[in-house]
Amino acid sequence: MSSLTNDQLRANLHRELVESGKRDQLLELLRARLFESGWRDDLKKHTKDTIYARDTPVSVDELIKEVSPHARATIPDKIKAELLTQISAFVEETL
Amino acid sequence: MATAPSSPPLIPTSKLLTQDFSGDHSPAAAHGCPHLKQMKKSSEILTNYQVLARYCLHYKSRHALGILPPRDRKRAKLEKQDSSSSTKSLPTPSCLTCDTTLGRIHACLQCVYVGCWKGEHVQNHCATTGHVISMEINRCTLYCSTCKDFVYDRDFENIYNGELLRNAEIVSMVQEPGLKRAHFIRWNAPNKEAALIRAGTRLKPCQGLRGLRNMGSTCFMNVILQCFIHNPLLRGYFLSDQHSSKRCEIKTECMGCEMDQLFTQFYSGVKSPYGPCSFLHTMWMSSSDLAGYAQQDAHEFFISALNQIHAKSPGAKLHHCGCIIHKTFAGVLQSDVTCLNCANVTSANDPILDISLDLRPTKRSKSGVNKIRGTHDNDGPNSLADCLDRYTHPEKLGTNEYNCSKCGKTGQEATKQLSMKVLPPVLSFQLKRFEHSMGASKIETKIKFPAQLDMTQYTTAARKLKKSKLAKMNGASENGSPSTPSSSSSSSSSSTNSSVEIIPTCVYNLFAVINHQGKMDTGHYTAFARHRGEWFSLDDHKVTLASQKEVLNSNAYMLFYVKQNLDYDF
Repeated sequence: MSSLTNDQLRANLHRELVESGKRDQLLELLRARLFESGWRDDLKKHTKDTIYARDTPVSVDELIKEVSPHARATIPDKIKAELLTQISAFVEETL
Repeated sequence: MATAPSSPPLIPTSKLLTQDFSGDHSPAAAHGCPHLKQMKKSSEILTNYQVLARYCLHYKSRHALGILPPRDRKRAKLEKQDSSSSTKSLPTPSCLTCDTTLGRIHACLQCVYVGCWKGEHVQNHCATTGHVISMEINRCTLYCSTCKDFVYDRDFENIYNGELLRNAEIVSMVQEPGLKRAHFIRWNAPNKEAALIRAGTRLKPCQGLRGLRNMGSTCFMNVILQCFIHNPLLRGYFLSDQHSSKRCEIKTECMGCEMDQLFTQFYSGVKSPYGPCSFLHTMWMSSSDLAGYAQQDAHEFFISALNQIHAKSPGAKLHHCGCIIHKTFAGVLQSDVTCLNCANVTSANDPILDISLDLRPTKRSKSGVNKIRGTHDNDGPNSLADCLDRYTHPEKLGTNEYNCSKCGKTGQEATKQLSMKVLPPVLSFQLKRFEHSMGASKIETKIKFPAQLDMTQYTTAARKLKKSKLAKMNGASENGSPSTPSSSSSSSSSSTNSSVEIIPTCVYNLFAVINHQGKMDTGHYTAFARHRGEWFSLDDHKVTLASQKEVLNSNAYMLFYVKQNLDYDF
């Protein structure tokens, strides 16, 4: 058994994450938590304001670029911690 | 000088596109981009899209369908799994260039290439091959690399909706085999009728939303009426003219006609608040105990109204009634009593129209640690899930309550457990906040409830399945067979809920909430209801836009959920 490089290990983990359905599970968990905390509604409002403030139509990618920093910054720490715990547990199990 | 901001995009009339009667008024965006238009001329792109959409949807449902990605051979050998072709497998979408499974994957619609966005591989592919249209695999949306944006096209949307439906049907067939399901057939009006519809109708704005005048402490009625209006099944029934007051034979004091009138008023396009006088009058005539101007309990009114509408429906029966009320709200509660001596189970089925949930602290915790009563609500339920867990939890019967017919012992110890045998299309909950008995006080505990509710674990079928699964596992360990291979459900370290797969027809969406502010006999009822995807606060004559967050944070008294996937009645 050859020793895997870090990159290979990461790629394998990613693949396992997707294939086992864990990623979908985590996404659902994240969605639910973000929703409960009101993050989604706040971000929706912020995004709408961003769109209306512009006079030219905006593409999806441009919008994502513009809104992402704010989105990332406003995620409650509690949620980050919870997701991290889940992900570490998954990594522990899989390795 | 800045130009005025463009008006917000039109809200589409429905997700599943209906026949377009009013002509081509849709914004240019629904026709994709010129590049897509060009590509559509060669029909292959539509077929390719359909194939890809089907694949992506199947992949998403792989656990429910039992189609898993091909495991690597080494692991398959370890787990002694049957890796032969008898177990179908579906490859995981991954970038053909860098093999990643993350980073927004796109599939080219013009050749067999799948690439990732983050690593810019799909962009490179488009640049080098000149292929312009790709599909993002998560939502099956179209991306045009010349416009550098996502584009929307009706024909593709139609295909996607068709595939969504097909996938949902297949998943249901796998999850609930034997449950008959009619194939969805869209109705398209023949030309003559279409012309008549076009000529004889006018699209009115602001339909379905209207305030209700408070005619003297009638807020309890107003909130129930609003919940009826926004009930998709009731709305469908009455708007499709299935109880027309013009054709009704009862005519006077018919609750069905009152409902019909109510819907007519709400969909008339009139924005001023409506005073439901005749509805109230007919209710008074039908149930004398409700008569009078005093404040009533909304839940009592709800049940009374349901019974009245049912009673006046043509062909109403005591058992297996097919009236609109029973079709919408009727469920069956199964009660299983297990004798602790001989394990004999006796079951009883009870028809129910709604579920009333107890909020008082559980007996166990009362006898436990000293807690300051009233300030800490840790003893009682905190969420709808807690309430439902308690409702379906096995409960010990008193020593003199049960006589076993099988083992013949009298005063036997037994447990009783409730489960939902049949789930109604619309599930209504009442959180028992009012104790009309001693020391009338209102339980103000905040009960958390979800926007989407999965009732699978509370069904009789799921419980049976869980029991048999547990029995199998116990049996297997006794025989000394190798460790059970990882099942299709990713159960690992998560809760016991994941041991049973979610049945699609047990998933519900919240559409209305009733709140009560103030003390028991005084106080005010308000409601929230979902109308065309938006939540509205309904406070008598005041109708205002609300956010889902507001709704979910409110102190609910009654909750109304509707099934996400409807069953068909055969």
